[in-house]
Amino acid sequence: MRDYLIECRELYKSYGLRPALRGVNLDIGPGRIVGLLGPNGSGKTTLIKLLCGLLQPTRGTLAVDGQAIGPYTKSVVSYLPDRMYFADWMKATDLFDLFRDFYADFDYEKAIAMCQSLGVEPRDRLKSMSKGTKEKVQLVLVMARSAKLYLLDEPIAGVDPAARDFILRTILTNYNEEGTVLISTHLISDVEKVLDEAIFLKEGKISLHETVDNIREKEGKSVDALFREIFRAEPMEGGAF
Amino acid sequence: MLFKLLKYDFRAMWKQFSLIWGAALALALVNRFTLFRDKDNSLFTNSEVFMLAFIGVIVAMFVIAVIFVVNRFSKGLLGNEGYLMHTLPVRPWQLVASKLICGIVTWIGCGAVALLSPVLTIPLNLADLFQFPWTDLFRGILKHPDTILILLEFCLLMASSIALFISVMYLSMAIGHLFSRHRKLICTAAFIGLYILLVNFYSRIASISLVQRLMRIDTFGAGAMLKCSLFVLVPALAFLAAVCWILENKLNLE
Repeated sequence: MRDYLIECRELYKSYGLRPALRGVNLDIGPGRIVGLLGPNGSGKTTLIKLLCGLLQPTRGTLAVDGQAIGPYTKSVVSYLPDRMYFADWMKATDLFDLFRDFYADFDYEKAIAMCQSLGVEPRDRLKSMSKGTKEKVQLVLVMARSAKLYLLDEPIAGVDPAARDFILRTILTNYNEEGTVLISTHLISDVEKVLDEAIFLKEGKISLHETVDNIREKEGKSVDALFREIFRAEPMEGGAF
Repeated sequence: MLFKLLKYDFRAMWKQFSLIWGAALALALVNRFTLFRDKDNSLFTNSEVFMLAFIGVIVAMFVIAVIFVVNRFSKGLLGNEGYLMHTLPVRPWQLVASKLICGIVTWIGCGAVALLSPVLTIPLNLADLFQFPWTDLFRGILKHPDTILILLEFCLLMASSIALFISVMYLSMAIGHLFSRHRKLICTAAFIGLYILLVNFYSRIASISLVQRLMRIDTFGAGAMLKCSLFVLVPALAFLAAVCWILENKLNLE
């Protein structure tokens, strides 16, 4: 087994003149749950999209499971984007068929069982489903795979606290334990309890990459408290909160 | 993997066009009962509404076919659905080829429906059909087998022309995608630019004597239209290669 599942070297990405990632060097090993943490616009989604092959780096190299991004890496990555990506004419079962055709690690029966436990009727048209139900279908598609790398982009953003627990529980009870889960979020307190490692991304650079235990031991505070300290924004009038 | 992609593209196409093609053929059949012949054997209709509806459906079918090809590429590969398609373990050329083949088949399907519906509409007399000299026709074809070859070559030329038109649309959209703002405007400008480029290309090519000889209808024999198809396919392949390069190296699903 390789030491590192994700390897990034001097990774830069800019949108026109605006830099999104500035010289990211990163190694993440297998079998870890890693939080990619940072405020809005810090480059979390950009890094995840680069790992999926949805964006191309401006310069630098990145590899997943020792391979440059391409069909092989896509076959071992399970990606949950921050938006709906399916056509409305489909049913959930159509998507399950598609995933079964393209991903050898997709477990169709598990997907159907997950739908039942999440209260989703897989034979309904996606067009007739609510936004929340569609999000559940997308979560099922991602977690019914036995992938080497799960890339979850803001899986708990925009939902109420009860739903956040529900989503996190679904992720934790269904992921391949030999694989790595990379969760991007700015809702630290909700994910902190499940993380092995935390990566702080600030203005396109990694400002901290440490195990959660080390953070607690060295800093004497929770990841959430450290995050608030590092990313604290001063109010316009300079008054204290 | 290409066949698997085709399976889903054709399924999407069938969902959209089965209804339209069905409606066009059904209206053609309905119109059959509204048409009648006068003493001079000229055709008249006693229901302009059905005839107008039929013409409307045929026109709508071609408009929808153009929109379908544009949407399958722009939304399917460069829009939100691209988040799914580009994370599948396939090469960009397979995604493009699948969309292209499906687009060509869609337009051929629309053409076939447009050709078939008048046959369904016109009240043919069964006796006339039996009296038609079918045996002479088949004997003629057997005597001149080139006819079938020329017909097949003509079909290939039509398919190549459709492929060229679709590849111009794909490249225009891919060029638009390279920019972060005013994508639709740039896409339209790219389409016009590529169209002008093609017109210039073919006008220069057509001025070459060899091609002139080739294009002259009286010199048409087996293989002539095949060569014409090649002249059409060369720029189409160049444009598609550019599209694949953009999707492989410059994909930017922000």
